Amino acid sequence: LTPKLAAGLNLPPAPSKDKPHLGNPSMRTIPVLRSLALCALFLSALACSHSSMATAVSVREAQLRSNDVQLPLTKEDQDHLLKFLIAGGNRDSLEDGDAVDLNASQKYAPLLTLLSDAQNLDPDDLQSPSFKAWFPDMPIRQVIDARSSRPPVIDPPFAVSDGTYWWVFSREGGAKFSKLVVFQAFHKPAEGLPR
Amino acid sequence: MSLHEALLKELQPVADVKLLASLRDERLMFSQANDLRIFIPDLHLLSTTARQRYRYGTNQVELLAQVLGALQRLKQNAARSGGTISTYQLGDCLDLWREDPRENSQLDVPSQITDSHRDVMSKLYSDDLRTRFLLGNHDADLYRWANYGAWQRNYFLNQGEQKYRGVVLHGDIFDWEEQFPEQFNRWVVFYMSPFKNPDSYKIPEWIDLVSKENASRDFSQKIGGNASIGQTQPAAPSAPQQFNVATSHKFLNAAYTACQSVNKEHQLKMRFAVIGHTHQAKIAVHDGGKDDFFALIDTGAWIEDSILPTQAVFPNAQLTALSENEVRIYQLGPRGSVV
Repeated sequence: LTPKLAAGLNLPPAPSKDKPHLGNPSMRTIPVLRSLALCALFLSALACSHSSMATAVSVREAQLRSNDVQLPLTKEDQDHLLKFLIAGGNRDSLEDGDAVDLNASQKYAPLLTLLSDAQNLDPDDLQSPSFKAWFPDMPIRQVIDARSSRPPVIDPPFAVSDGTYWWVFSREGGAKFSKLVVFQAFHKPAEGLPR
Repeated sequence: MSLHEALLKELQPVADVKLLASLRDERLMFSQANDLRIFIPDLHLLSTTARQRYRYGTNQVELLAQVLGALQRLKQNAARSGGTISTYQLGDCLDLWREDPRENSQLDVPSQITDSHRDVMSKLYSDDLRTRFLLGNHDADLYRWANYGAWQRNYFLNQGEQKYRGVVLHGDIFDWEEQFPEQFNRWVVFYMSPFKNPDSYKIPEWIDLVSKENASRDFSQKIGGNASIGQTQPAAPSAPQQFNVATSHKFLNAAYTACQSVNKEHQLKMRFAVIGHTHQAKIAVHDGGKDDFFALIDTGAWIEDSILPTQAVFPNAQLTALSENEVRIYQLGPRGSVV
């Protein structure tokens, strides 16, 4: 425990080796305090290094997720997804067509076109330059979907995010993606945790 | 029967309904008869514990629950005949700002409030009503909680081929014109332009401005203060073409200018904005003739009071309805009350 660190911990200075210990009981507790502080530091460092859980993606409630659509997308499913995205990912707005993000059409229409082609539905395609414009990061395979009877240990879905939505692709036993669900990404805390 | 009439038919058994203002003008360009939009203004709900700290709070909570029940029935009935009823809460539904000091916002403050208002909140949230919520300056922090992910800063109203004729927003942005003039121009685009992706803005920066806006005010005695309104009249199936329509409102010019700017930039034809925030129910119109028309529909509140020209005071409890190019603001009271 360096003097600087001890000062930071608001501990009393270490007794000089040149001077004999005083018989004061409070002075005898100092080595104990130092040892405790050292243990606390070690344990907290250990805790920090192991505190982060692996990231998982949770499928949202019905109001906040799209239909489960089959891949490749049909024209009807493209329309559904586009309306859902324009509505800000809120299914309640689909009834009357209110818009939250009209920019969604320009942003996502090319992606939906890509997903309408069976040639683009291999998991490796998600890492291709075509998809990188929307999905810059690696897919996450830890997906929680309480609609399922069991966790998807075998052939888990591929979840990728464009920063606003999660796009969860499933293969359903095949080699290529056959199913997609889209829902709002809850990324807001990362922008500013409660103060 | 029009949906305006159907609404009245559902409201009158549970509330004393007075017409506070009305406007019928085809230039609103929101004409469909089978489509009614209902706007519920600021509620400012507090937990039972926090409510005790203030001399004022949400008005007529029991009546509010009954009115929401009436709206549920209206929506169910309308659906059977092919009608669409959409309900919006204009922001400041939960008053986080008065509920808890900011430094304690890590606590689950929204749940403290909703636990105290299970009847109202369960009706607002019901599958029957499917209310769409806006974030106001008193509940902007809800953006931090996952369960409030659907609460937005604006909605652009569509009606068939008549795309984006109006915008619904809380309205506090228009206060910023005076308070934060430098930021106002940038942020008004965030609220008013349907082509600006909300995620392209820095949310914490927005929250900081909202915090500054709130911090500059003392909410211990009032928020908007008493509203001065014109004389009300009993609600009837048919409303006057213009009733208590004003040509001035402190936000009219800012809202009109912002809408004009967005219309010009994006080739839109937005003709109206629906807001809450001020607690002063009013319809104000800019009418430069022909298509130079804009209506600011200020939906009032369910907190604080209004004063009639006779100096009679009554608690704000207002509901706004829009259909067939006609907008009406109603003042509600418990059955048998005199407004």
